[in-house]
Amino acid sequence: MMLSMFKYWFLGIAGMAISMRFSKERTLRSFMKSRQMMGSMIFDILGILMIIGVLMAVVPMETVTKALGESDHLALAVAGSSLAGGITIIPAFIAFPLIGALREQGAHVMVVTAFLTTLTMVGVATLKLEIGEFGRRFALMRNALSFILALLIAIVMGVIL
Amino acid sequence: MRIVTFLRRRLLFSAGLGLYLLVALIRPEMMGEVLRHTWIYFRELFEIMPLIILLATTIDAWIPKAFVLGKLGKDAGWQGAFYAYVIGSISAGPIYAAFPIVRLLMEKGASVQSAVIIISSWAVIKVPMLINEVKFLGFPYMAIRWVLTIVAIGIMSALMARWVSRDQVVAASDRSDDPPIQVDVSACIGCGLCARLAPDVFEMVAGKGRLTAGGMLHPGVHTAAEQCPSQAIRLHSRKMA
Repeated sequence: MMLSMFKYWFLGIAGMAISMRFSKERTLRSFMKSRQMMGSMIFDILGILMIIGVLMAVVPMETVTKALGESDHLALAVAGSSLAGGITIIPAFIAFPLIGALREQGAHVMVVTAFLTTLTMVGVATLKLEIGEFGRRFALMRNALSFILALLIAIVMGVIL
Repeated sequence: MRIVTFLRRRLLFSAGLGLYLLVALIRPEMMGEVLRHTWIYFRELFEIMPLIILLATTIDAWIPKAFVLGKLGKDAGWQGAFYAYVIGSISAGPIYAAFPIVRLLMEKGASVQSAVIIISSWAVIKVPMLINEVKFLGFPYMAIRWVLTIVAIGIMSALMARWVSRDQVVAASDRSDDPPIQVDVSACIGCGLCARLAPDVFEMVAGKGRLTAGGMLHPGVHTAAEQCPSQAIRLHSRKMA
């Protein structure tokens, strides 16, 4: 039982061992980079896990379904979640468990997908950086287009699934 | 005071902690359930997290980037678009790490279309992330979203190429007053890699990388900028060339 928890770990270690045979330097470098990435995300991960715990245990399913899953105000919920996704910066890595939990609690696919797609494609928080590198026209157009297409993807996913 | 700064820098963690405290105070009998659910999701994530991150960084280290980057020129067409998707999908690091890299590519001749494809796919369709997506949302969800996203990025990059020209971007982002090499101290994690690779250019002061007063022509500068784990070193290629 405990062992199954580590099955992908073994896969990772095996992969590293193979990589090690080809280039020690590259392997160690990417290992250090992995460690640094994990270190920088650890508090975000703990935070999201605590939020999920409360969401699953305390918030009644009907509340989530009512707010994020009913068809009579679906458009409003999608609009809200896509705006939230556009302004939030959290790693996509921890967004997946969060929206998985929300979906399990009765949120509509369209609503959670809108959050995910805008989260990853639109970046209001990083807009200043983007303008600095590419200019106002490029950055604003890219984000506006991304927002529209992110919404379209969410709508199509909601219809298909 | 230090605790306050700590919590302020980690909003998500603070929010989680706040919710936990709230439940513990108002409905202490529910704490067991809360912890149980957190534990379930922790296990799920813990199971695949190291693999995903290792995969991301290993792919990043092993793909012959120089070869792929050479395929992104103005008239690269479908092939260029394909390689742009590849670059975005295999790179490790947050989206803002992509901006300076893509800008450099554009100065070297990469098209607007390639730039948009790289930035967008960098954010959404990273291969290791897809594993995570399958785990928490199922394979059909991942597959459909992946296909739709590829299509959407294609449409977006074609539109952007019509509406914005490469010269406009390169001119708009001209920052000729900036120094040729910059170290972002707030991003630096003090690993010391840059000082080892290009000791004439970088030195470690109080645990952070810093530019030395001397020369800028050390051959290790580009390597250092590329390999800096937090992407804290910025080069302005026109002056470096």
